[in-house]
Amino acid sequence: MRLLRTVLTGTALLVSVSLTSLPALADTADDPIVPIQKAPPPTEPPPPMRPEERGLMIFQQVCSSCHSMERAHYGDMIGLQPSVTALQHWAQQRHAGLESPIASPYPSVAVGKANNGGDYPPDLSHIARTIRGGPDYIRQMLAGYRPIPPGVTLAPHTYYNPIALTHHHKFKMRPPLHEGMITFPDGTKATIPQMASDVTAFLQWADDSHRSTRHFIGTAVLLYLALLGGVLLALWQLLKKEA
Amino acid sequence: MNDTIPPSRGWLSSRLPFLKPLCRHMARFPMPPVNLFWTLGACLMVAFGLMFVSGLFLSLHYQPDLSRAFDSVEAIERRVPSGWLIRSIHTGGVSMLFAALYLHVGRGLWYGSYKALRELVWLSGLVMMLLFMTTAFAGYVLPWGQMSYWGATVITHAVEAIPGIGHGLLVYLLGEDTLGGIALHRFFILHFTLGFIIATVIGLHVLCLHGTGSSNPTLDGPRPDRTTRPFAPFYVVKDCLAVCVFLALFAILIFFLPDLLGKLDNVIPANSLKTPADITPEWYLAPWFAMLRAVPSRLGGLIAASASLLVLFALPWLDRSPRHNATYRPLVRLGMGLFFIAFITLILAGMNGATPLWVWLSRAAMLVWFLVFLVLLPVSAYRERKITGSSTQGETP
Ligand code: HEM
Repeated sequence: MRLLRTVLTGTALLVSVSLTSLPALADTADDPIVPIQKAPPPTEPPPPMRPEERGLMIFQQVCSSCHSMERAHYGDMIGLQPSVTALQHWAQQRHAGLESPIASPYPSVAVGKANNGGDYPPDLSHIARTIRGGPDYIRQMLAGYRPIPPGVTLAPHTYYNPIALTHHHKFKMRPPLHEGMITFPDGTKATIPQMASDVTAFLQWADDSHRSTRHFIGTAVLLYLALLGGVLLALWQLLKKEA
Repeated sequence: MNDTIPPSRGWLSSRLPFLKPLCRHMARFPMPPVNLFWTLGACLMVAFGLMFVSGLFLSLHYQPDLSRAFDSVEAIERRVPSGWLIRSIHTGGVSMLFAALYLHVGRGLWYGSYKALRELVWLSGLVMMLLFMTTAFAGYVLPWGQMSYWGATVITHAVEAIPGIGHGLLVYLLGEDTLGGIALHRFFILHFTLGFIIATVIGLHVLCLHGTGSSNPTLDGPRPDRTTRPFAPFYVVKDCLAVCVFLALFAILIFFLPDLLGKLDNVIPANSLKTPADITPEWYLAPWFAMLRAVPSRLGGLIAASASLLVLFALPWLDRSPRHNATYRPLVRLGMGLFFIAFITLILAGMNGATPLWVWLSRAAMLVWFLVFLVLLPVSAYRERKITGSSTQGETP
């Protein structure tokens, strides 16, 4: 009962205080109103993006028009693109849902081959790990297209890339990256080396997306074990002396 | 008539009266002055426990179905919360477990732990080793990646080498002509069940050990030390310390060096039309793979590989010298040293391509393996028994 009464009086007091303060506000109504100047929106720099986040944009706009990433679902990209609607939109454009695998755009291997000079664009799920040369190779290859040197003739749908592994530099992937083809929200200039390195970071992430968490947990576990080991070692020394 | 128990005995111990004596036995278990190699058993128990628990969690999400196995593993890696962590414990744990297992067995060989009266400890351990090898092999098939499929194909087809019944037996075991969905399901059940069987055998192993007690590595030396310490607290702390170091190595492996052991080809789904460039087993099964390859005839390879394991079962009777510790048995020290080198050679040979160099090295290593156990050990045991003048079996330290 006592508690209830205290609460009630407290509330009553509060209400009366706020009511009495209202007329005080109303008093100032006679003064001319100076419209509040809205400060111009501060020119905050756009939030910086991680390389793999830019890489996802490149994958969405460029690579995925030929390559699949079957092992990953559209929804898995939530780690790099926190907006579910944006992901949903992307998936819908490709007649898929958040829980469908990022499939090849080609209806069949034959069509894929026919569209790419006879070589099927490989799945990119684990390419960063499985391809010879790994991420370094991918990064250099993507930026490795060169004008055809004199004396070299290329079949149609073939491109000159001295880094590429297949067909002695006569590569079947048409140069995917072009200067300025993408506008990154964080203002990063879309140069070819920049995009090559960003999309490589993305492919590494897609192959092994828990890398940074893994290192963090690993460090914590090791610190814990070091501490525990120290205590045990001290205890052991103590027991050794005792006997 | 009053069979109420005096309140000094607890609720549990009045119903399970052997509980207290058992705990007392465990705590006071007299331990000879053993060295750090005797902590490997505790490390193995922890490693097995981690494998068991992580395996149970994995089996909640794994689907032993030809069309879904690979994807379910990818789902564990990418979508099951903490799935990647559980899986890395399970896949990295195998290597940690086998490393500790081989060191544990190596300790037994070097210090003569297999001898009377510890034969049952040794034999139960060997049974467990065979079970582990089978379990690891079955488990490796489950993700149904390229290496799973092709490794399993190569190994299961070794069965075909058995004369007469080989092919029929293979088809019977696989459930169909080729390695497919039925076999995958069977591998899963085998893998899952063996975990429980091994848990039981570990219990038996420790039970057998508690019949005779740990051996004393100092007895053959110049200064035998017969003092014992109760297991608790000294050896509890020592074992915990060793487990701590073991877990730290474990953590370094799975958190920082996951690619050290992973096979690239196993992130590619199994494709029965495309043979990988080279089919290599995991390091812990490599020695026997090397043996299969080193013998020109398939049946011969199968026999050699099985014999190399069977000979270990006969050790307690091949070496009946009263001396245990190889440190003080010059000939045995040489032999065991050679055997360890041969074992490592076979691991390397199994993991490398079948070039003439590795094939010949494997053959030499196999020769060492059999010579050490079948000739050197019995001969030196015979000589030692003559020297010590005892025709009976030596006292058990
Ligand atoms: C996961 C498998 C295994 C577990 C959990 C295990 C556990 C243990 C434990 C806790 C001990 C007592 C502590 C020690 O001496 O290190 C022990 C002793 C022993 N183990 Fe194992 N063991 C395993 C596998 C094996 C294998 C494969 C062998 C042999 C082929 C083996 C042979 C022995 C012997 C001979 C001893 C007695 C050593 C002595 O006191 O001289 N064990 N084991």
